[in-house]
Amino acid sequence: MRKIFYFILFTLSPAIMAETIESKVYEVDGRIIKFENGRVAFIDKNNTHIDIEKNDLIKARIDETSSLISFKKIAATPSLKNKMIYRLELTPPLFEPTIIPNIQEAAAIFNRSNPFYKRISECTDRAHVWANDEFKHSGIKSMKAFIFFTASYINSVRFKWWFHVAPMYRVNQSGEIIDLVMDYRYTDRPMTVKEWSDQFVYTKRSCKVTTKFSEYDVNPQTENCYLIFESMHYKIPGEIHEQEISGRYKSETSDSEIRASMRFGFQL
Amino acid sequence: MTPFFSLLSMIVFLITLIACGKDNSGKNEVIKTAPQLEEQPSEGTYRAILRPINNQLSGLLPTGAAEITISEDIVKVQTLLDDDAQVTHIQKIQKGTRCPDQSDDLNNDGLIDMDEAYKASGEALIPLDDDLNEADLGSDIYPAGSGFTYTKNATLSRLENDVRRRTGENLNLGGRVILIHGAARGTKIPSTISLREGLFPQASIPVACGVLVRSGFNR
Repeated sequence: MRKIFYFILFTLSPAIMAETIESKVYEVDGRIIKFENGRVAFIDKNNTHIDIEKNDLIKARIDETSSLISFKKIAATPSLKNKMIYRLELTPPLFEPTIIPNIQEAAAIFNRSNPFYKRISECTDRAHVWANDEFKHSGIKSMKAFIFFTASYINSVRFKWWFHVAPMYRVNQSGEIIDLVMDYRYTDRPMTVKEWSDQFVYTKRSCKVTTKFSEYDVNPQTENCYLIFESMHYKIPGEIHEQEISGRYKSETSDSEIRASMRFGFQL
Repeated sequence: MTPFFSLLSMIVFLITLIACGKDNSGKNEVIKTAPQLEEQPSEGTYRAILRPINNQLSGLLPTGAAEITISEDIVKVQTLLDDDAQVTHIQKIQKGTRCPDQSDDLNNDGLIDMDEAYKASGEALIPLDDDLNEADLGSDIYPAGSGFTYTKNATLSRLENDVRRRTGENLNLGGRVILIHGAARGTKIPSTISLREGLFPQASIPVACGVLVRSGFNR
């Protein structure tokens, strides 16, 4: 009887350990599927015919190591997330981030971050709400720090995200102006960009700073990571890419965007 | 008789008071104790954001939260953690008041092991295991799985007595550290890490930490 129990447990264990990702596919980069929500799944070498393409909305089951177990395509339903709910400008808008007068004030901003994010929430929603909350609270305009992990880095450490984003503030530190990233979920204090990227880039290699998404989005990728700094109005990588392709700039954050981010990212 | 006994009691009391206050320096050994947190009223809500430590152990950084509510004689503890390690997660409230960081990697092997973490965050105060009332009753049974929610209740007076009996400390949750351990089974861990309690390296390694703060914010 016990043998049967252990056999069943052993046989079912991969299924028990599976995680489900439901997201649109951003792209398939070699054997890495990049989802719009930032997660990645790995396609095993044995799987030679995987019918997944950019923009497919799929429900994927992945194992403990993020290898794809199975997937099914699901019909895309129009959702608030996919709607264009903000205005785009044809000329680069003037955006000057506020300079925070000192480190103490920067720490106070960090500690004001809404801690009631959902367990399963996306960094894009959290960063958007935190930056907007602070703007509503104090009028402080901040930036967003986007970090993009290259396929070679993702493969080398089996990293499970292809990008991450957090609010970034310009701070006067004893007369020197520095940028501090406030990633309330993953770090316990405001961090310099290098300290922040080191949390995710285990090689501690510096990320290449760029303004063009296409620089990241090409193969072969020799860097570990890229950094793009944008205004607080930018939420997802697609908007940065869109800016490069169409020459249209995001210059505002709409209330409906924030409502959506609150709903998807935070406990109401 | 009564006035006599009153006088006697007063004399005994005064002798005791003088004895307690006398200067023993130079005669008896001074016993050094770890600095204790100032005694706090227990009742209230305490929250901690659990953030990753030893990030390089996983491709998905573990995060979570803890909430402890004490009302009258009931202590309710809830912890939750999201990571990708399908293992048992040892979780304890430590005596100390800060989470370890990279500067606590004393042997420079790149990882903060259990000894190094305990040096920074203090020794264990309360195991958050299967029975919160007494450390000996929980049998070291801890939550397992990559995403767990742990909820247990205890009786405040029993928990306080147990903590005082084992550690000589007051409960004083505000400012204490919660430390969670456990990386995935296949994780490569250098042989330089310290091991305790007969644990495997992967089971012993700290992966998340947070400091309990008496809550001033509400949902």
